[in-house]
Amino acid sequence: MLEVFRRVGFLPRACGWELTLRCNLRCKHCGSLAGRARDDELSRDECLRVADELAEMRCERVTLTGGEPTLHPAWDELAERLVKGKVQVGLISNAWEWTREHAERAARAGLYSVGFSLDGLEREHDAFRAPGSFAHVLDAIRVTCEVGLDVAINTTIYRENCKQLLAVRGLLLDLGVHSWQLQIAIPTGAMAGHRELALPPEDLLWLVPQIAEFCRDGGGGLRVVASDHIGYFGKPEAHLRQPEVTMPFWLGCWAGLHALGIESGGNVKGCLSLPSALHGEAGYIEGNVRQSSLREIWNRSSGFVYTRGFRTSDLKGFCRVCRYGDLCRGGCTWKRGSQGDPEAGDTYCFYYQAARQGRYDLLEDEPTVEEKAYFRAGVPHR
Amino acid sequence: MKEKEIRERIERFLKRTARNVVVPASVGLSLAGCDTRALSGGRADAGRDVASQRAETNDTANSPDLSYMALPYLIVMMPDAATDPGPSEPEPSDVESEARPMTEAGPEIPAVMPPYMIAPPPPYMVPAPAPPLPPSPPPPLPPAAPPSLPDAGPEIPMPSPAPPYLLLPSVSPSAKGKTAPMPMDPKKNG
Repeated sequence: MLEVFRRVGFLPRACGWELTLRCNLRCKHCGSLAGRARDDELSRDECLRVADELAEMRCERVTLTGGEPTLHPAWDELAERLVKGKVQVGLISNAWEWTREHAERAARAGLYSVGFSLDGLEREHDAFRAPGSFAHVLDAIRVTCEVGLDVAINTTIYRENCKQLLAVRGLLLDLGVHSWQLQIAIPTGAMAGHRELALPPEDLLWLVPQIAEFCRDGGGGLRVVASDHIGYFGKPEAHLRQPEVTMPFWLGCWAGLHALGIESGGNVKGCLSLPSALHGEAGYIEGNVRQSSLREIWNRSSGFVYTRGFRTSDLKGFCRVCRYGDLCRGGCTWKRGSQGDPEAGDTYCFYYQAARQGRYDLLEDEPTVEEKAYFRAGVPHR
Repeated sequence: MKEKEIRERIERFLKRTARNVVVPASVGLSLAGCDTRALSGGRADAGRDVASQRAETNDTANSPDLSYMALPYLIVMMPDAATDPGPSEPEPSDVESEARPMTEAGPEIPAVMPPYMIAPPPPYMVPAPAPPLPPSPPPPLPPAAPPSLPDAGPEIPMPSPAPPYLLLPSVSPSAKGKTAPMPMDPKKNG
């Protein structure tokens, strides 16, 4: 619901900052196509200026990511600068080279949380990332907990690990992990070359309720968070968001409304997940911090038009007739654009799949006549 | 949550926010969230960007001049006439008389707010105090006579009965951890 954001104001509350695209792993599902550093990555001084700008703009939280952000020589200096500017700073690492020294530097810099990626149990995780990577993550969790930092785990769900979630949750509880973010692998970036590993969208009908149940009950001490490309609507919705807030339902993509992303070369997007030049798509780049200040880029009235200028007539496929279309705005922009068929709308949508498969028992409202007619007409999409 | 309740909650939010934040279009440029000085006289810097206005809001919050400011979020985008579709619903005509400090009308920020909320959170992120909910929806009431003035008092954020699926989880809030509910990894697939 764009009007909610319009009334509140377009505020850069959450920022994902790719410090470098350089990475020491080549994961099969990497959405950033990380590996080599970009040719024109920001210098330390340029990064410090961006950090100051984020603080001046009252950005509430910055997540440092990559690539592997700890390969940036000034990652902790930047974090400390942001923290001094009253920005809350988290960091996502693949843990491959994470040591106690990294954990201590993170603690000294004032990070509120360090996140590691763990994509299943050992065999599945290592198959997705690198042999031995699983053990590195477990070691990293231990040393980071020992220095007193909260540890968050991100798990990307794909065919091979989707039935391991309960076991992974048990492992995380044993290790004292603080929070767990679940996200679904979408065939984009490197994953576009491994489409066979992606979950078919029909599986959302069992997976989304399971994730919602994890969010409802983390098993005692583990906070579980569903990534914002998981949903939407139907009975699981309230637990995927926060049941305790005034509006515990999906309000549409945050990109350019309350979120922004900064690439290591200085390009600014509404969300770091959105494609860029490496993906053959430059349309989401709003500017570069070398040419304009971050504030100017954010405040351009013509910027972020795909969310700020959204109209229901922009919706495609089933989203065009969906009862929630104006609320949901077609779901996560990145996910919708990654499904191959721009006319299909968002088929990785719980409501879409439940309506299509006649599982009205999973929905709060029976699909409308128009929605049913859409499928009766012979939908070409899954 | 059924679609009807979702839309009702949004509607309540928009009405409340409109009363607190939106300024009549007659002020000019669809600028929202100005202080009363701007309303009456217009300010040369009325179109400044988000950050500077938010900074001023916070800086002013401790001054004795609170009655002139204190709106929690200032809508700052200078609408581009060519691209800005404008508000989706008409703005109330009596907004000026309703505008007042957030401390008077806005929901209080409870102690359980996630720690990343350094700035005041937008109203929809504020946990709603959950009143006792009946197990089933009440029978429909006859239509009430419209009030002569918009309700200016504080609203109860969650007056509608929630379906059983939405009853709060059995896990204690403290067990859910203390960090923000926002995505930890802003980048999916990785």
